[in-house]
Amino acid sequence: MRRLLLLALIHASPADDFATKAVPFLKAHCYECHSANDPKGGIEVHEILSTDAAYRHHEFLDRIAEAVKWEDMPPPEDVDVVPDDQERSDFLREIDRIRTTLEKGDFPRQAGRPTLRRLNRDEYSYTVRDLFGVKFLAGHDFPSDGAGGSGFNNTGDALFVPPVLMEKYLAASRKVIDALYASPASLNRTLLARPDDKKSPEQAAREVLTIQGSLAFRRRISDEELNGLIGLFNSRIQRGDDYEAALRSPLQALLIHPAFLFRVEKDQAGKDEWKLDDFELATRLSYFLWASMPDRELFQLADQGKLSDPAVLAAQTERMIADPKFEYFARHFGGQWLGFDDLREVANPDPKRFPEFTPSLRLAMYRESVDFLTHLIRRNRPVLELVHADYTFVNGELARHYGIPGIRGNESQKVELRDPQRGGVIGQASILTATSLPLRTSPVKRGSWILDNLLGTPPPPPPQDAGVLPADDRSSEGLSFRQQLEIHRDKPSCAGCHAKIDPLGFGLENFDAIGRWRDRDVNGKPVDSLAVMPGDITFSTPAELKKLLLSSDELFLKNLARRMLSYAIGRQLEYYDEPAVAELVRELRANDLKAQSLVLSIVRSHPFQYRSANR
Amino acid sequence: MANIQSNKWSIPRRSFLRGTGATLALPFLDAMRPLMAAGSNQGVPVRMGMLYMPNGVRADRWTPSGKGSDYKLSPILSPLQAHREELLVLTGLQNKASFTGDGHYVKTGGWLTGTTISKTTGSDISAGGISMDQIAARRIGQGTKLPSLELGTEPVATGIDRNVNYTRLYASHIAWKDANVPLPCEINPRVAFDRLFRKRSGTGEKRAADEQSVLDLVQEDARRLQSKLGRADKAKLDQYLDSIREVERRIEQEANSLGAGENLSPELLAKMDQLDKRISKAMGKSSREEELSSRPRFDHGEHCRIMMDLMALAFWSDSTRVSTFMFGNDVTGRNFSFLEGVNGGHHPISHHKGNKDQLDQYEKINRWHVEQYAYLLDRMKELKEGEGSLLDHCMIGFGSPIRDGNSHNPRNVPIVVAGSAQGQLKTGRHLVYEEGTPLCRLWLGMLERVGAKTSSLGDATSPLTGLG
Repeated sequence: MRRLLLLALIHASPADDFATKAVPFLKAHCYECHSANDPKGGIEVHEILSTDAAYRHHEFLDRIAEAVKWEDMPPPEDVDVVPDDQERSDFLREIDRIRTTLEKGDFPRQAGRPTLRRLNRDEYSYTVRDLFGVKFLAGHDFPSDGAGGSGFNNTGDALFVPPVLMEKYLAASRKVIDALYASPASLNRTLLARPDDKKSPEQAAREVLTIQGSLAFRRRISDEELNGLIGLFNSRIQRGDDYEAALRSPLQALLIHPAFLFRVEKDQAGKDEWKLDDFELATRLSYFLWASMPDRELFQLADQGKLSDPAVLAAQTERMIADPKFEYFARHFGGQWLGFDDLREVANPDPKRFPEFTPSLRLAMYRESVDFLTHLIRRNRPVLELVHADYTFVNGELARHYGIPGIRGNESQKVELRDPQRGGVIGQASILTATSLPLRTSPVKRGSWILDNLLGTPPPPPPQDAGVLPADDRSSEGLSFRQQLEIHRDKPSCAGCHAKIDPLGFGLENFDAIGRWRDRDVNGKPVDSLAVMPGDITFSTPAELKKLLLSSDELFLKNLARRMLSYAIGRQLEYYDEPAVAELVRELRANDLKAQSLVLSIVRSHPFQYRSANR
Repeated sequence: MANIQSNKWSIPRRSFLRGTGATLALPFLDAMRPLMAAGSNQGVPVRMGMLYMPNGVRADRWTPSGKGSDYKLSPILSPLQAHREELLVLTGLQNKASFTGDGHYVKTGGWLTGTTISKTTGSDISAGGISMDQIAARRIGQGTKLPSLELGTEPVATGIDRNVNYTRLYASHIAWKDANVPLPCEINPRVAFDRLFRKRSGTGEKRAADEQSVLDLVQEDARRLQSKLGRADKAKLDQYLDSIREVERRIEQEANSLGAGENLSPELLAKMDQLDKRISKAMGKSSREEELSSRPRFDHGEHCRIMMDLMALAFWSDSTRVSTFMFGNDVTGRNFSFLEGVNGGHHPISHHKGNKDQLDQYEKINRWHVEQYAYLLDRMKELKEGEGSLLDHCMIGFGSPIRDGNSHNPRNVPIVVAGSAQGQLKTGRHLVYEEGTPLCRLWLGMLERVGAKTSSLGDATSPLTGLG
């Protein structure tokens, strides 16, 4: 009811510029095709009726603006009335105003509210490892987690607790406790106090559980919680168990406790938003950079209330980046953002066509991407090296795959690249393979990957009757694969988008479906990698494509900032995060694009440090 | 090496006897005859399995010719010839709620719910309703080890499909415990096997009691924590609490059940042992531990068949009465080049754009799926139970929520049901319904026969007529 009233007020508000300046244009030129019934291309314009709605749909509006600006829409061949230049520019100015307002933060701000995050299965494994020192990945047989937000599986909203998972939590807790008790060293590290003349068993257990409970809950354990655990301990003592045995139950309880499995951030009554406390901050920080729990030093600083001090926070961030556990950031953030995680599960090059694609090569490809991203941030390199770099990481097998001489052995090592084609993520076999089909490259997939994963501007979905190309690139009817693709996208309903997608992929045609360099295609013809983009931009090699991407880096930087922020705070970004995103890009530029400055800026940002009552 | 015989199967007889008063779920094995009326079907439950095939079918090769019992199987369905008399092929059904949104996610997520999934990249994930298998699980699954068993072959699809703005997790789930809780598929056959058939080692009575106090404690703390949280966060803890209760139910059920080794028929033990060894052979690892922690990446056909064998044994041992199996996630690009005459991935091939060569490949992939389905029916027919076979006491659905994969056509979806549910379905027929008949009416018909009569689901308010 309140919401309806609010909507009514917004609609009635004479001050709503968007409603008066942009909506008439949408009504006149877009509604016919893009509204509720049969929304073409899945696009529903009719929902954006007010400035408030425009804020919420700002990314969508940007896409509309692009289409209107380049006169792709409304499609001149299909409509009776085409907007004149004045109409177009008025409309675009209004969308521009929305964007500028968002970036400036010139509207009621809020920090956002990530939904309660369960540890995902990787985080669970690493956390248990760090908590009790067990050597195995305790969550290895958990069901895999789906993704939300900007495509990451640490998004609270997309993490569920089905019964099968609870069964596995229970089974894993048994296994972890058994392993703990089987290792005298680990057990001694955990049972930090023992009963003696001055200390009763209960007092000793209290000491142990105060510490282990606080570590497990990533904050000081409450008296109520502690008493409950002591209750478990006492009932086993009463039954005749000895001190060590009696601690089994409370320790097991920690591993299935909601305060352990979920990253709880407290609400503060009566406030619209508030700063996270130091423990909550430590937790956000450690799961962002390590995908695991805070270590002793972070806990100590949090306990002393010092972590939120900007200088301390910056120093800790740097320390954490230097730590070996920072590799998990590269694995999980990088793997999901850039898609090289797909190499582990999804990519399936045909074993007959590509017998060279061995399990060890698969692993080496994955390793390259992880090592590259870890190195880039740890050495504080400019983030544009993601697009192009003159080094990479290979072992002997991958080096042979790339045609790099002189590298032997199984260990991944840094090598200089003299060939300007290969460097940067675009030339990494992991990504080239993950964006190919089993039997051939896919210029469309690679092009979409650049538009979506790198630049954050995903192409719209294909029309329902689009059809798809043959699965194999072995020539049929004497046409090269590229020729077939060009015929296919000759349809007007396809051409608009494919003119932007495909050339990007054509530029990478010198890389085959498992990322090897080739001069000739599978039919023995020279690879045709000439690409012509709208606006008469041409290029023909990966090196030239990279140059093109580097020449205008705003989209890439903004997308990188967005994705990393979303990963850090575990939620989908909302319109009210736009000022923070703009600030991240500004600061990155001000710091010569140094990778760590982005990480630091995120840690300092409003959405990272605050939480609000509403989302 | 993996061998079930070496592991602790039995639970102390005492803990079984203690469980008086609780429902006893009896494995319906010949060995149990003394406990049942000999040779009678009395007390044998009906079970329901739903098999999901991704990416639709070649439409012109799916529908049988002829109607009623005078029908001829289509090229795609031809592998089912031996089961012709045990089949119902249904034509003309659709899920109206799936006509919106996009080509795939809406169709898959809502296949068994009959609702429209919410369009989201993450927040407020919802199928719109509970799925029909879970309606059954709630009603008939409470006395068995597992209320339901979800099986698959591919991990949850990650990321966001930013083309259409859906989280890909919709493509990986057909079972929804309620609108907001998707149930993940177990894809590792070793994990599924152990979950179903292996006793937890070292769980004595004392340990069970200790664990119960641990579970009591965390529930109490969860409730206290919950009172301090906002709405969305509360809902997450609701799931946590529900799942703990479910685990408690399972523990209690296990303690009560006749799962003790001395009561398992030699025949069942032999089948389990066979499957156990087959899993090890297929996975090709050096230890059970490695099998448990590895990504299942081996022959796809063998993977599917093992998962279906698990379903069959789970039914036969009465470990569960409701199960789903996803041959793959929707939009799967799985390479089907292992089939003669097929070159490429499933999803790309499904977009055949009318090209004859690609249509042929698409048909081969479809028929391959039907062959696997026929394999399951063969196995279930071999397993004797009561007066007939396991299959006689089941309903095994097989289908896809889209018809033509090229156009994502959601009308007249491909769907078959095998098994008569103890004569409740009059099988051996091709039933042709008026175009536009709700698929959910079939679901209602199946729910009624499995013992979970429901008044409405999705766009249906009555079961299909003419089923039995």
